[in-house]
Amino acid sequence: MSRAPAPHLETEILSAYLDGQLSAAERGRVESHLQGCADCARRLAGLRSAIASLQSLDRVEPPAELFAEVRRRAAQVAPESAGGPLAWIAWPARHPGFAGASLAVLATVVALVY
Amino acid sequence: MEGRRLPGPVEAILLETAGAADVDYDLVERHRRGDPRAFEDLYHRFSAMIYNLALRLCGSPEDAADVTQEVFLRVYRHLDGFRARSSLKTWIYQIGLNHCRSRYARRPPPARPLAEDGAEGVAPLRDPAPGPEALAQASETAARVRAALAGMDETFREAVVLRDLEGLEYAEIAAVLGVRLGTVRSRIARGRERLRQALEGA
Repeated sequence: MSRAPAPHLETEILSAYLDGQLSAAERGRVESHLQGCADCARRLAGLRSAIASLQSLDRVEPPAELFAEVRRRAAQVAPESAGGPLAWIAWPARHPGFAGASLAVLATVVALVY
Repeated sequence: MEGRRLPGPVEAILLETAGAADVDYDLVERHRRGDPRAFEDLYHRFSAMIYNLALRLCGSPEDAADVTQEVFLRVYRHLDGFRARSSLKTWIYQIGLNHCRSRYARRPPPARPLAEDGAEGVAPLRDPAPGPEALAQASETAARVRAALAGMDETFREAVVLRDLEGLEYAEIAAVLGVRLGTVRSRIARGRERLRQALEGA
């Protein structure tokens, strides 16, 4: 029992070990400890198995009709360009004709140049 | 154009997805030029990611659908103002996380996490491939995992979902959560430990 004086490995170390987040030196220390410590080896296996169980949850496709709803609602809101100096010029974009917005910007740019 | 700054350790990891970043940059540019297909492409690129994030963080398909809609409306409105300081993926995850948080902040923590089991997972039972016993066991494991996630402190749940379900790198999680790498490492470990104890019946 008292044959291994090294304290048990912290969960955080075991978890980081699984993700390859340890330095070579730390990894070596972990691996040599694991060889002599059934407790830590068992906890490591438990963590591995917990991750595998988590990853066995189904990945779910979003309902196909969701995009139509997003697009319908998007058509009702104006894109906002985070308060940039040209933001207010883009307001016609709230109307369905996006080309109008581009024209407004273009017109302003032309007006500024000349 | 300008000389590129050499990446630090965090940026180096983020740059691993440089190919993806090119696609993202292209999407944003097309949207800025007024290409209406750009938003649709962007939606299809990221919607499953956000839907599954919300499904696992909030717990129900209804929440996942609502969050997905809200997130992409917000993306639509603010994409023009998106600055490439962070990756598009990180930015969308941040928006998704904020919407999930405001949802579970409105609700008391689940007193009966098993109640959500009926909310999904009926369809997979119809899959004829594995035998009925294997299916029943898989379904039971899934129910226990969902219950463990639901009963977990949300900071641990977020870290574990981003790492083990979404497959993000530590640096990406640090960017999404706005915390240090050491905090990410600690939260992932604590979430996994809770999960291990719950599944081992400790």
